[in-house]
Amino acid sequence: MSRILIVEDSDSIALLLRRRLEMAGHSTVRAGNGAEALETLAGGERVDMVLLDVTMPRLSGPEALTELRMTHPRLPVVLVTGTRPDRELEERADGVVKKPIDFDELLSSVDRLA
Amino acid sequence: MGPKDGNGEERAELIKRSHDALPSAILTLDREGRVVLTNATARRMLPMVTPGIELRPLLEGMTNVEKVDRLLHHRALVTFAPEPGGPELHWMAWEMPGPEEEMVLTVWETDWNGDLNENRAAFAMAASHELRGPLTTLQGFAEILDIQRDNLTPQQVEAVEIIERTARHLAVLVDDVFDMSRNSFGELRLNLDETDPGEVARSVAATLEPRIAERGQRLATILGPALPTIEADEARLTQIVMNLVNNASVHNPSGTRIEVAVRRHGEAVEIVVADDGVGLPFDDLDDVFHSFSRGETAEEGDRTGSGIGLTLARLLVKLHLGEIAVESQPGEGTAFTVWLPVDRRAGLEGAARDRS
Repeated sequence: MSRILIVEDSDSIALLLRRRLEMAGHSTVRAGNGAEALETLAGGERVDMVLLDVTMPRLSGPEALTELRMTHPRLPVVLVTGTRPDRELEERADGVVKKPIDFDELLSSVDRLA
Repeated sequence: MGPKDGNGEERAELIKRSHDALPSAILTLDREGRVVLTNATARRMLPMVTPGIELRPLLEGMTNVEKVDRLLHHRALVTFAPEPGGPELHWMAWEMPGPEEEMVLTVWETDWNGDLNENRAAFAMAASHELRGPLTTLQGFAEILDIQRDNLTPQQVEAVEIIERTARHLAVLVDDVFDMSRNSFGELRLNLDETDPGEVARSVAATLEPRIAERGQRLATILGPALPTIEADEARLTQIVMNLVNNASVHNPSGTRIEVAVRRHGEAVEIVVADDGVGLPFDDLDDVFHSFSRGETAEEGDRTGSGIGLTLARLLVKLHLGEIAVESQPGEGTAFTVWLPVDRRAGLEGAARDRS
């Protein structure tokens, strides 16, 4: 079972992700924005995968992705987004899941990548 | 000359300058209907309107008498181009308060409305984006309850199912609004690739078949021989066919047969979505493609019953440089036909010849 970093500014969506991941046997840790996510990882938190919201205050998803690729090049990152991301962003991530979230799709990418 | 008069002159000058700064044309008429004053915009926009000229005959030379009457007598907002082929302008008349029965006309470019539309589209786009967050939460927690349905009473299960179905419906509406508003900015672009139209029809049928069967309807897919691949956006083509099939299902009773036929027709691929249902209630069938023309909403099912799905389908067909048409007989059914060019660069011209 994997440990997942949820980077999401909405409390209710973060809780939803946590509940569904825990129901599937995973454990989670949460960051409220991109900057917090980097701090969490720099603080020694070990995770197998990152679920990254796109629109967030203090370091958005695309910016956080750029940083993560430098600091943790092998850590899989899946974008969770309210809009169709542009191709460039899509290619930089390991996966894209659209909101409203299809959890069959999300959980299978967790199994595949984490 | 006292200081008061000096102020009066200054005021007159200020009023004249404000008048000239307005982006719309202002024409002031005397009780005889002659032009007394024009502002700078009027002189630029309507150079033929000069002080002293009688306005009515001039306007009658630009448009029909009815419009001029509606403008000058009924104070209605009318739209016409002062010069043939020139830009259309909005015209509106006000009576000036006072004993002289003077009148003021304001004339402005119809692009102003374009600005308004653009703001509306920007708002719709932002709103549909914002709505996705709460929608995610709503749908997600309803699903969590659904997973735990063994712990719920039958009435609670029913409530959860309705919440889930409604959230799915809302998600489709939000997507449609988002796509329509993206198009207003020219941001709705196609990811073109070699696409198998028969495969698209098959996958739409596979997705929708369970729900159509639930409604007591039948769905058949008929693929013609030697179907070529076409240069299309597979996701968007799927959306087109899905919208048409859903539309046929949502608006027809149990027992309706829906057929999706894909065949080659000269230099075009023809996709027909036909039903033997109630037919369309419109005098002018083209109305079905205008947003919101189909006022009622479907209380169940994922697809909206409003016209937005069809409006979007037509938009997506046009982006593929294709054509869409509808035929319908009350009591006999409706058929939507989509033609997409096999060679996108050559367009539909060859196909149009084959059709006629």
